[in-house]
Amino acid sequence: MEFSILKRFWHIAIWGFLLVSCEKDIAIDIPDTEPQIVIEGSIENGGPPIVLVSKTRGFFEPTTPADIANSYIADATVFVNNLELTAVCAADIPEELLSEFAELIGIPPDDLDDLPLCGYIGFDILGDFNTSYDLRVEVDDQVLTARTHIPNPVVPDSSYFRLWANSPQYGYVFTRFVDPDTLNNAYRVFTKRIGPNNNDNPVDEVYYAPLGSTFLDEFFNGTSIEVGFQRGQPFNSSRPVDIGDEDGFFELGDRFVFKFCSFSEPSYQFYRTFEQQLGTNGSPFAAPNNVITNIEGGLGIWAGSACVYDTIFATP
Amino acid sequence: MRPIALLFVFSIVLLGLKAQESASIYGLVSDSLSGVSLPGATVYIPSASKGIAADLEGRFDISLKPGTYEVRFSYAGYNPTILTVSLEEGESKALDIGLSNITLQQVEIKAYISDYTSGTAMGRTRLDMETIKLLPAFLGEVDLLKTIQLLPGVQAAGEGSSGFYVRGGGPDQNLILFDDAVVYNASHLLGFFSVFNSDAIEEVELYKGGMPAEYGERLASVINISQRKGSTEKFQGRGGLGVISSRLTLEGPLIKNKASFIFSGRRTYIDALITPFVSEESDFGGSQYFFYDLNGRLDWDLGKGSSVYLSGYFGDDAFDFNSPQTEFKTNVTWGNRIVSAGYQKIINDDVLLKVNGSFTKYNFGFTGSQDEFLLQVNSQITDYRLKPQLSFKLGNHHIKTGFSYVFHDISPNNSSAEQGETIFDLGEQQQFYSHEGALYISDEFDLTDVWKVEAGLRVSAFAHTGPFTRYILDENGSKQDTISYGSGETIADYIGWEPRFSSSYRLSEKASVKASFTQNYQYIHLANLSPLALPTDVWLPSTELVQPQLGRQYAVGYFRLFDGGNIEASVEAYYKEMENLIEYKENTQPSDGVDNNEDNLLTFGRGESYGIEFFVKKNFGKTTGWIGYTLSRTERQFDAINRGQWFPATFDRTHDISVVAAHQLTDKWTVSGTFVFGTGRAITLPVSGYFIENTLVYNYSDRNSFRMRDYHRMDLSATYSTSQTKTITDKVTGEIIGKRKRIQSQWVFSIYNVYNRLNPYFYYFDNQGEAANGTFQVQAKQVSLFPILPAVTWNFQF
Repeated sequence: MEFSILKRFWHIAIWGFLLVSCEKDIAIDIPDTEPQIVIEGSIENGGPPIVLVSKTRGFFEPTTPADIANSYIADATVFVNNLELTAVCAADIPEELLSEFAELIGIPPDDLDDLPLCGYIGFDILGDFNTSYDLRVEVDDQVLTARTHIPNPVVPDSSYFRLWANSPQYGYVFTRFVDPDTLNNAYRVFTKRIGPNNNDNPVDEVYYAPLGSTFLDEFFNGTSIEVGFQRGQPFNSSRPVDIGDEDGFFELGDRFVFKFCSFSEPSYQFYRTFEQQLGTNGSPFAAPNNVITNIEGGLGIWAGSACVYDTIFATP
Repeated sequence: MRPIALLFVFSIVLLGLKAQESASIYGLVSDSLSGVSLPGATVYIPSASKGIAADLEGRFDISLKPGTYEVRFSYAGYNPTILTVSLEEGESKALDIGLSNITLQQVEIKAYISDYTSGTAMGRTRLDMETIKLLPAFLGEVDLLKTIQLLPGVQAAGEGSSGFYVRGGGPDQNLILFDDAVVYNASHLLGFFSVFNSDAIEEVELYKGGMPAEYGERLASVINISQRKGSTEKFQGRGGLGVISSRLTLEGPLIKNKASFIFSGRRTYIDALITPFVSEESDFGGSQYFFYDLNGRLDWDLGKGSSVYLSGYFGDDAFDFNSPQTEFKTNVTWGNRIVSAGYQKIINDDVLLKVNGSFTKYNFGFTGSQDEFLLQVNSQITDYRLKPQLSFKLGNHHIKTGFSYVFHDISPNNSSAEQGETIFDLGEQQQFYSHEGALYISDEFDLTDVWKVEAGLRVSAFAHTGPFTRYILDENGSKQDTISYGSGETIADYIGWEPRFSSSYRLSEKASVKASFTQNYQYIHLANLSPLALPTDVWLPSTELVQPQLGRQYAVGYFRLFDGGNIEASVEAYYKEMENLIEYKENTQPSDGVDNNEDNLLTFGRGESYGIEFFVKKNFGKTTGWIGYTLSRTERQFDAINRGQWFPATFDRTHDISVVAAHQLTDKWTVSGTFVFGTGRAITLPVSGYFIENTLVYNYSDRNSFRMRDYHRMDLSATYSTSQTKTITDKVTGEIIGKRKRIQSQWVFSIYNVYNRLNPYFYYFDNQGEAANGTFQVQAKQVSLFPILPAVTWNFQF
């Protein structure tokens, strides 16, 4: 959360370096390595488990959509609590269900047109609070396992838009909630702009996690706290609203959904290190670290989360 | 330990009684022009068959019977001087001698030859500031730590950095002493400049192996920096105007020939230079950076071989980011406060007593705010130190004995945070109190005419004491329990035996072989979150979790003089093993130390380093310089890092070459150049990737399994000294005579990175575009810091 303020300092230091430095493209000979199996799986209260299975890719392998889609595995066998999930490929999904599938896997429907990957969905399972879920994935001769837990939800007292100090039109989303009096409650937030809005901003097709979206209650255990977040947006986004003055802000007139999720500590470790890596890529000050996984036998994440949603109008 | 303490006390009593002559001469040997003292200068009285080498501060004191003597003063590179002195019963006569520099072919260098081949010293180098000032300097800022990096076995931490590694040791394993006080962070501007103002420094001495028993506390090296004494003769000054900073030094007598002062100041004007070019509306508008440092020293000659000094250093870096374009504001400061006081008494010509007490404080502070959120982080280390030492001669034995005591008060990464009315619970502030002491004795003696030995023993002890709260964590890192220790309660203690041995065997007048063994314990440690040395790095003491680092170094060498001692050459091979090294656990973040013990975040391992160093140096003549080459390997092993496999240290450098040369073209022009080459730094790179949330995640290789491109660079400089005299007409005789100018000056023109080599500073992978629309691509990038950089500095002296 706000402790990312330290990271921000280092970003400035890096940019300071770059002001006096020069940069050039180089070729690096990176040897081929044995591919590893990667799991991206989640289960949310009231929703089905959904799992993507892929392989790691060589760093300089071709990056066409087809190449990337090919790194996803369509012939795995996936179980959650011993119930087999159904393989569903984007290319086979009827148009009217595509947006729902896209929402589930977090990839916009338009992208799925060009990135015809396959996932696994447990249509017979719905996530429930305070329940554990065991994942088992069989790929070729490998078996990967993981366990996650959907905790009880933490419902914010209020969530609202607030202009930042000197701006007449841009602001952040704030939420106030009471953390349960037990240590290691972990949280992650998402935002999604929806229509209609009165400023013609484009809507988001999926939820995006903002910078510093993942945090733990180690510093405010059992207390009431107010936390502010920027607007979530796609990584490497080239949308005009994501690279201009509006970058990271909501605008007056916006209508958006604020998604507030509680999840378990192993999932927190994954998303914390995932965001840390995104934030420090290329930094000479950061130690290069791999993302912490909770998958036995592979990489990635199997995360259960208890989420609540709030629709907010950006008004002064 | 008790017998050693008794020996120390007994020695003072016994040897004090030895003073039996009733007259004496004492004083200071210095350069007649600059006033720089000449340590090691020879003072010899032939008729009494007595002689002494001036101490590190150029002082001497010799007891004699009443009578008339011819006293000879000599020093390599200077004209010998002979004085006749008459002494009466009970008289103590002060002789402050200024020797004049000469061309070095004329120098009597027998003493030098003798010391180089028969002395037991290995891995020791002494550089005076006059030599250092001749060499090219980065942006014109003369930097003694960067000159040290040009010696074999010493590697630079990075482009333009004053940080360095010695024989495979980490950055925390170098003990930097400034007038006997410890300097914890010796650099400004993230390492690009050292904190030492060249005008305030007299000389620097490096021990990278064969460490004498009087030194300890670190595994890799000792860098002993002496501040200049002010002139006792006349008020004078010197200074310089450079590209990024200016400096001024004033010195003079407080009491003529008795007491002197020297004060130096330096400040950058980076902030003033950059501000006009940064728009207030830009991201960096309202931001600024500067550093400054102040040095001072008072010396008082108490007579009869006694003297005292008081020395100080104060320096800070300050960075403000305060852009109107964002709510994010930050202020970062870090700096050293050092005070050192010493007393020296030459009891007789065979006995020297030195006592030093010092205070050191290093502080790092960070304040950041955004909207209503405010975060403050502060780290601090404070030392109080006492070190008496007695040196004496018993027949053939040159003995040094003494003890040292240090009280460490360390508070790492103490944080506070608030948002509006909410104050975050960041737990208790961390404070580590510890006591470190050592007793030592060393003896240098001739075993035979050609075989000399220096043997020593240092016994060190360390205790971490309360008050302190220990947090007990479970396997997931969650706090499970706490243990509270009361004030003064011992939490952990250690004793370390540190034998030292070095020996030389003279093969001929000009050649010798030498061997040494050093065992060291290090009780305080630097924990680095980043591969680069930063002011945010945290010092920690040994605790019940953090064991003292242990180092053993074995070295052998062959030393040879050529051209009558003008050229010295050596080959030294070493092997070093290190235990209980520390690193942060993988994926540790700065905030993990909040409401936690910082040492709970660490993991422990070992290391080894071995190599061979070749060194050829030309000492005298119009052309001087050296060539150094090191072939080495440095590795680390931590159970919790790299799956427990050995990996190269980030500063492992297979080949390291330095070429340094200075040539006096004319009386006014001197040119110099340096060339360095080093194998690329060991780095960790991603070897594969995968997508999570439609975003590329890096899968990193084994630790430090890649190399950056090799590093090489050439720097040049030319120094023009304006005429030191002007011609005037003598009013009495009408003759045209030369008169020394009141102000003498120098222009120093330097070029850093002459052939504009873009050396890698770091690599990163840039991924752009989106996978779905076919625009996604990954590109490896190299960032280089400094292209060709010319600089001009004007130095003056009056």
